[in-house]
Amino acid sequence: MTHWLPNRIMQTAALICVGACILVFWLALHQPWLGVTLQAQPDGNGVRVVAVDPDGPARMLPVPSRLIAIGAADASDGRIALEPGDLSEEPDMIESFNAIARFMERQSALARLLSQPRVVLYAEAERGAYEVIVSPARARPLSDLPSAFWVQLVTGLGSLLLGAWVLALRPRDLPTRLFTLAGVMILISAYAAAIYSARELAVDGALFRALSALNHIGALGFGAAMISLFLVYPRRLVQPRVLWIPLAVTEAILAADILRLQDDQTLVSQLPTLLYMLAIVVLVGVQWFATRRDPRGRAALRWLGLSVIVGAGAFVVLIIAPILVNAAPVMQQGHAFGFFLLIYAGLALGVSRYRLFDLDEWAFRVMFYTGGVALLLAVDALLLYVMHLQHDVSFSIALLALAFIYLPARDTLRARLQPRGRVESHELFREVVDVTFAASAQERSERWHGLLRRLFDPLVMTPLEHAVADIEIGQEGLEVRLPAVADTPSLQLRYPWRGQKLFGSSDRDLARELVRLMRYVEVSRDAFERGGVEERRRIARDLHDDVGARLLSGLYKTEVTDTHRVLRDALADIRTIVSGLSADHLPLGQVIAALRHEAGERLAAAGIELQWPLAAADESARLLDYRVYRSIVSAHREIVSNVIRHAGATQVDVTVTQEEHTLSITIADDGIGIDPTDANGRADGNGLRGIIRRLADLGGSCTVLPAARGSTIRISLPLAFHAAPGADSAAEPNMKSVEPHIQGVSPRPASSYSLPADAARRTFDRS
Amino acid sequence: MASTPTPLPRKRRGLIVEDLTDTRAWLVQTLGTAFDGIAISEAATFQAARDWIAAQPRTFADPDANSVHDIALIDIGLPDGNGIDLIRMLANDHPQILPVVTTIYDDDAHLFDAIAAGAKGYLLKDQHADTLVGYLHRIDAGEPPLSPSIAQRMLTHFAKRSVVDADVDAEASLTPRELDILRLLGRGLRVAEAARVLGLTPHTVAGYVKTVYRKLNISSRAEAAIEAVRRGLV
Repeated sequence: MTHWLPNRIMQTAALICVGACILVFWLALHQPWLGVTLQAQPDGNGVRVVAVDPDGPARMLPVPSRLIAIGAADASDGRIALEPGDLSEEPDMIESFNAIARFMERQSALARLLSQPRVVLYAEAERGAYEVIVSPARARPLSDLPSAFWVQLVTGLGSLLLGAWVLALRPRDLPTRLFTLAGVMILISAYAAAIYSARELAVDGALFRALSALNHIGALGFGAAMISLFLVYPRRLVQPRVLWIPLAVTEAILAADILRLQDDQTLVSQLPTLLYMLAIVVLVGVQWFATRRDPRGRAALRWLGLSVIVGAGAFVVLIIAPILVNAAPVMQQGHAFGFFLLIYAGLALGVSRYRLFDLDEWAFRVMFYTGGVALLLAVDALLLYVMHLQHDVSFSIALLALAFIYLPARDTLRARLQPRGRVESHELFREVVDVTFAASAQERSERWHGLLRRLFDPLVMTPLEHAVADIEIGQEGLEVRLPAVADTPSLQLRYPWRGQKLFGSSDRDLARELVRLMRYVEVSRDAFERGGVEERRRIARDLHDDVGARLLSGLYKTEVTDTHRVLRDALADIRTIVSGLSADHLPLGQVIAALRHEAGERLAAAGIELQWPLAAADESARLLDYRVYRSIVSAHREIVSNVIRHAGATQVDVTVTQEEHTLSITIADDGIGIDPTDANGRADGNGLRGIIRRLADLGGSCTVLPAARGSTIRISLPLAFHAAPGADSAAEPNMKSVEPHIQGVSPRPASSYSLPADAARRTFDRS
Repeated sequence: MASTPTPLPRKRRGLIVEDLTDTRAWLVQTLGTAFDGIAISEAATFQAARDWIAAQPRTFADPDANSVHDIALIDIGLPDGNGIDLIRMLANDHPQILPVVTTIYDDDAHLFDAIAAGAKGYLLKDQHADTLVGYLHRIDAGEPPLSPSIAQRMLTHFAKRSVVDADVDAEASLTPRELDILRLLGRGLRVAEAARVLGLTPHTVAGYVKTVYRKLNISSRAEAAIEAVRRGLV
């Protein structure tokens, strides 16, 4: 059983139901039939004929009339006078076993008589006595079965199928097994009673006895199963092994009943039934007390207990109790069986709202999928069958109707059978983004609470002292614990949907998806914000180091033209920062373009020609780290400033060469030239000194090359930026090849000489 | 339309829109130096500039190249409005007035929208007055400047655009030659250098730049119209 799929169990139950129905129909219909509807006559003289089937064998019988006796058509001694007791719906209502034995004998005799080919009906009507010879039909038509039969049929069917539904989902739980057993018992009881209660006049006594015994087994078995259920559910009041007691008691009572160990039927039938009912009520009360601190159990009990008490109780009060006090039952027993369906309606409600037997919406999904799809297929088959019969114009019309009405309706129905999300996934994403990007931590927290409220509508939402890492469903779905997100500590949500439902697996999946999305968006947002913070930090440093330093030096200039120059330089710095040269990384080509443009504008303004041909590096998309390109821009700008101010040049030639990992920029002018040993007149203190330091920090160098005319300065820099020089050079093999040259062990021809960073600093320092 | 009396030498007019008093005074002086006898009006606010523009007669045809242009120097960041709206007004209704942006930034973020709105050039306010005069003359002659970042932004703009409606509007698409020039300017070359590389005269290259300015304006107007239709505004 434990390996059975839910569908398989339900299908098996459905097969059992079909088998039981076929058996019941066969037994109920395969009886001789007159086509009369009889009622007990209070004065005891015959029975009343209240209706006659117009197509039945006894259609000649006048209505209303009184059927006094039935006799054999061929033998004069075979006449049996009818008594009101012959119509008894339920032999249980007969007090003593002797009376029952007589009843059964009469049933057998009547059944034998009716199975003859021809019988005589002795009737009395207003206008006199009649003797009608009829030939009882071999079988009874389906349409002749009374409504009570159908109520019992549906009750048995519903009880077994719903019991099987619960069992299918929790096949190993004792309470669900007991509940299913109760359903089986209702089926047995109802179907047995259906056959004899719906009889026209008589069935064979032996069959009657067997059916009656089955009815008793079903009734007391149901009681025993329910007593056992409430002994272990919702709270386990006793050990499961104690459950043999109600079983043994029931067996003993049934034995006494069936084996006629006791003459008074009320003692072995009605009284036990009543006591069982009382026991159920008492146990529900005990459970009520036991679940006083267990809202979940209490909720389950409320539905199950109430529906059992109302369903079974109504039956007992309306049918069994009147017999005990020798009164007539209030209604037909067959109809009263319908009350048992209440129990199963309560079950469905309990499952949907209070996770009765720990079931959830998914239980309904199983039912919908198995039942709904089967229903759709049945409708389809019926439609095909009907279509098959129609071959005329109406066929085309029906086909159109099928296309335009049934198929869309079918699709809608099918969509209904599918599980629906409460919040669409795209909606969920928007909600999460709204929460994550709220302006302040407080607002984020508020929106997160709001979103949770929208999704789960819990009665209580409290922060947890101990954070959880993942979604946890606690107390069997009464509460759920969520990890900390959205600037909100771990939260505990209790009593979802205003306490009307519990958290199920779909809710856990939803919450997990939600938290996953929240974390993802938060990480992305943080990365984005970190990028923003980094950039602000870089801009702040640029403002301080470049613009601030320049403006400060401008304060101390005495010449207005100097002040103007300083202010323009400061504006150029600001322009650099604003124009996006503060990004984390920039392509080399873009940096060179900016340098060329700026140098061109400045030199042109000073009347100096710039020759800076395009080279391969111009097209380079290689990304330079911020520190690398900033030091290139600063060094270049400073050197051009020096040329403009001091060189008296008319032309500047710039060449950019990119070796594999090193960028070199050579700036040559045709001015007065510099003495490498005494650059006094050319250096302007702070600016260049800072640049040389920056270059050195990055492993670069600034070299004054010998030139025939003017001066030629080359700056070179490794393009691969090394975060902490020397710290993990092993991870950066490129650096190693560059390092010797950085250190001043120059690979260049002897005709040029290089200024290591320190020397350069010394050289340009003396202004 | 009434026929306009031909080449009656008209007095050139200028407008300075600038909220900083000192800067405004300096710009007035510089513009006066650039164009002898120009009649300069000043506006310190968006409101005042708009009133001045509204008072100008509207012309519906492009002035021919030889006629004398009026010049409006417009600061974009005004305390009570966006200078780009002023540029758009001038470009749409007063083609005889050249809108020129005055700024201290020459990057795409600050200038691209202004050019798209119809600016015919820009000036950097921190330059020497004589440098500025030179630029003014060149803008007046139809040779606007173009910084590398704006050139690159234009390349991106037209590349994107060509995907959407390649041959819808030849008026707003760039020719291969114009693309060449934009690429060179985007590399930081100045007009004269680009001309040397391409074997053209600087004047020709500058003319192409002016065409690119115009095409950007046309294409952005077309986009605005498409956008308006898409949103159901029209």
